[in-house]
Amino acid sequence: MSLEFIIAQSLIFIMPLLIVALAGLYSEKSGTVNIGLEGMMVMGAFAGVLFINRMQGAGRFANTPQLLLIFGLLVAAAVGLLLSILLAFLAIKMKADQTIGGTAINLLAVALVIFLSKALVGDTRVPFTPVFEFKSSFLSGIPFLNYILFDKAYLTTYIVFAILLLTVFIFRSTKFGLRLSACGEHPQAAQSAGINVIRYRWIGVLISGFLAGMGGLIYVIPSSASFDGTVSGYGFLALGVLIFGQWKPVKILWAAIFFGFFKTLSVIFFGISFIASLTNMFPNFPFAMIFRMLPFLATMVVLAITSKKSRAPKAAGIPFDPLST
Amino acid sequence: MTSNNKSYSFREKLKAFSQTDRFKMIASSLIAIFLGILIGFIVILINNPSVAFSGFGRLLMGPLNNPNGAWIGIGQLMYRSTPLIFTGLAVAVAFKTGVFNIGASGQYMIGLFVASIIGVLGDGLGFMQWPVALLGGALAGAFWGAIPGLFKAFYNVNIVISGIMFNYIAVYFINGILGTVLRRQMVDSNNNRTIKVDQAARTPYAFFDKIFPNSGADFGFILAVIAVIVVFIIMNKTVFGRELRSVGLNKDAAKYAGVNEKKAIITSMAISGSLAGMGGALFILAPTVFNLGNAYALENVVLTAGFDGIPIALLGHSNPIGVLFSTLFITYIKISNVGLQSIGIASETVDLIVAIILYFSAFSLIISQYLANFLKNRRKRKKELQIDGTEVGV
Repeated sequence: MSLEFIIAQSLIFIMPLLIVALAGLYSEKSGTVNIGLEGMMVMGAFAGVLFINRMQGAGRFANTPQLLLIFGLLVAAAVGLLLSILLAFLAIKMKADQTIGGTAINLLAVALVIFLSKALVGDTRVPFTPVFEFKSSFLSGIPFLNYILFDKAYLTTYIVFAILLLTVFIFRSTKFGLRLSACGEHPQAAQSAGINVIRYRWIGVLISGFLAGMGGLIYVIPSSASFDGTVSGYGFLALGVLIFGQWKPVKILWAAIFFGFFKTLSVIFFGISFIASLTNMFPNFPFAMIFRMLPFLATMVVLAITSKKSRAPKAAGIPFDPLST
Repeated sequence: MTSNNKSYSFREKLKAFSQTDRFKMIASSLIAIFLGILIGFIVILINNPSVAFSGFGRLLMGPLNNPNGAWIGIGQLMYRSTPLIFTGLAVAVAFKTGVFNIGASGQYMIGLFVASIIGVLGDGLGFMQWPVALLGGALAGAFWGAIPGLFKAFYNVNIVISGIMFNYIAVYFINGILGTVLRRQMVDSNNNRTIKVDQAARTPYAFFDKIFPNSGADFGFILAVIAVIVVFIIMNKTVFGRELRSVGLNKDAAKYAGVNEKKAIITSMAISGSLAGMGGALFILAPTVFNLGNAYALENVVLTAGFDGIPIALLGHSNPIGVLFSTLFITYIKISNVGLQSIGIASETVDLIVAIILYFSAFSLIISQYLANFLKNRRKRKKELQIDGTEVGV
């Protein structure tokens, strides 16, 4: 088991968690809790995979798989955005309970995806040809880096990193980012400073849907050759990573890496010779159980140490009425 | 004159009722249900126009459409509702304390796990085997639910994230133990499922197999109804329940009133977990139709029964009685799945309808507020008109 293999594997877990946690960040920073991330991922993944499936079926983009992936990501993001309109309408316009709204979105997405899948594909499984790995030998002089960054790499990794950098920049140094945070932190103050809180909250939720939809496809592409109507709870895990990362982009990156690393360990532990010999010595000891529980237990331990002072946006989850102040 | 007076007082009562919160809640749920079913009908009409009306009929008839008779359908409705009433109650109790128990699925699974261990290995317990298994499930669920409560109280860890984490920990813990230490005693290696629980560990049919033969309905449903009543009494009629609810309504006010918020959250989560755990226990202990009992498949997925409790609790406005009715309603239309599928309508249509109902229920409370105000204003106008009329007469 080589280190580069472990890193390349970890990236497959880390990237979807990272982008969907960032998706949650935009929404919560603006004041709307987004429990519906899972549903938005599911819808995005479905739309993106269906698009890729149809294009591959028609023989389009046969020589330019990366271009096909980019279009697929845009389709996924657009559908995620459409779904987030439902949440924004409920949470911002109707001032309804955001937990109910998000839960409804999750239920709706899962049902709608299987429903549409049966109607459009005739099956609950949408297959695609996995042709998106770079398999490039660009840095063949440095095999280690080439393996991680070019051979076993996906375009999505670079896109997610670009989005992370953009997010850091937006929240640190732009007027837009500061205003968005103000709307989730103290909307009354934001309004008295002349900020249109309602509009910013809409934008926050829509960006959230856009990124979560994209994240759905980013989850499916490197890990499978079909979409079966589920993203295995990654939307909820991403919500965990968002909280773990204390609503700060860079900390979210560390949280995603931390979780993704332990998650990888839980998949590849039997390939580590030291542990393999231990399992042979104690066949009845639940090693697999311990390694599988580890990402979640380790997260709980770190959370217990770091959560004393929560950095949650203070007004997240509370509907804002511009006329009440 | 007297009869007139009587009807007047009845109308007065109706008017007074239309102003209560309870009316608004019931009305809002009914509005949401109406809209959800309406949209569902439109979906069927677009997708399967030729069978739309018969499909819609099947949807509304739900379990009554059972090929073996409506009674069996009703029995099946009760059988399938039992675990969901418990998880719905679990989520509702936590909601009332201001906590979103997304970890109900993990608590449900732990309850199921412990109950099935006692159900398979507790041979010496005799006729006490199923009550002990149920109690074991409840305690295990309470323990599992209390953990996120403790993490919140002592380390300020967000209860949503620990709920999610402990769902997964539950899955891997259960599958790990069943896959190694207890594999020989508990798992049928042919299908990688748990062995069915002993005969004595199954909940009795009571008189249900006489009234609803071969439907699977058992004493568990009575226990679910009892749980609804007990939770209702605890939450609404005791000081303890009022303290819990006061934390959910206004944390700061509760604090000033001397309620220990941390303690309230831990106990509420423990109660919630014990309810979810009982749901899991009763699922695995149910005698079911062919007297074979249920089994647990060792797959690394979180069972959805706990998540299903969330829309149930929300549609029932977190009221125990509301939970009972919303569970029965959701199960009622979900049973029509099979009937719809047999005439070519995708069974997900029903899931779609449930999702749409939940979506509308989120703001139908606002709609019903309008409705109540509208009724009030209309009455007011009527009264004013009458007064105007008499004045003109004078």
